Amino acid sequence: MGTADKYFTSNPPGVTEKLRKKSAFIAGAGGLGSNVAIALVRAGVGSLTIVDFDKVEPSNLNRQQYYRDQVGMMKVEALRMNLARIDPGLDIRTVREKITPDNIDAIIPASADIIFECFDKAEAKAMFANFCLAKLPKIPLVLVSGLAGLAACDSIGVRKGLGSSWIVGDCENEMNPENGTISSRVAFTAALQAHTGIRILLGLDK
Amino acid sequence: MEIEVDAMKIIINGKAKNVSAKTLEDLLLKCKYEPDKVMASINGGIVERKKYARTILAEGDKVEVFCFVGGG
Repeated sequence: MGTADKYFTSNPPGVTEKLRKKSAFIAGAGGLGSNVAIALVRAGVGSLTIVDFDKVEPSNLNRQQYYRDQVGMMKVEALRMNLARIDPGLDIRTVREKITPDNIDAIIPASADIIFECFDKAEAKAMFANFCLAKLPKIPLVLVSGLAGLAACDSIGVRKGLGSSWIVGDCENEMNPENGTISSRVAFTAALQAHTGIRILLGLDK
Repeated sequence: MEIEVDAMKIIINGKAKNVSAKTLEDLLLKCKYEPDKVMASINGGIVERKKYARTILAEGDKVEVFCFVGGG
């Protein structure tokens, strides 16, 4: 047992060894992406690529996994720091870019075992899903749609989407000034997204 | 009542619908979807966004559409 392994002894048996060898791609480091990344790293996922072009803003801190002294930092840099405190041995690659139809090809590693869509805007989610389903049809893709507002937890579900995709969310409540977003519901959705991915990585969901 | 001469049966998300739409793009717009916010397949095959306007529909096609809402 390596020294790092003592931090994962409470994982379900047999899980850590499998997850240490897995590589996840996270598109977006906001409310979903920052929470998904932490859940994956705590579970023992060995390798992450995280892409985001934004800086941490005060209004992010109600739901995103950053701290007040990180306001103004690039999200990917702040997240890298926070994840290193959880697992210093994490193999992490960060990309400070906006994903567009022109660069998406070069940014997503074809070697990823799973892809998490953690974008904010509906158009970005659709563009990303379109690309992944058409060009990387064999890589499982966990998408999110609908997490804003205060609706009950059981309105958020997980279901199979088109092709190799899964959809997490209530598919209804969009982010706007009336709905707002609350820490608990965003983290709940992100945890469901991460858990769906972990089950796929372990071969429990197909 | 005006009869839509080129109406045909399309199965959209499991429901049969008579629509006069030549392309996938027409169909999405007629069904009030915003094409830039969806992912779509026809008879199980994913259709890329840039091909919506030149993807011709045929009688009985099974179209699946999922529309994203913002937030993340």
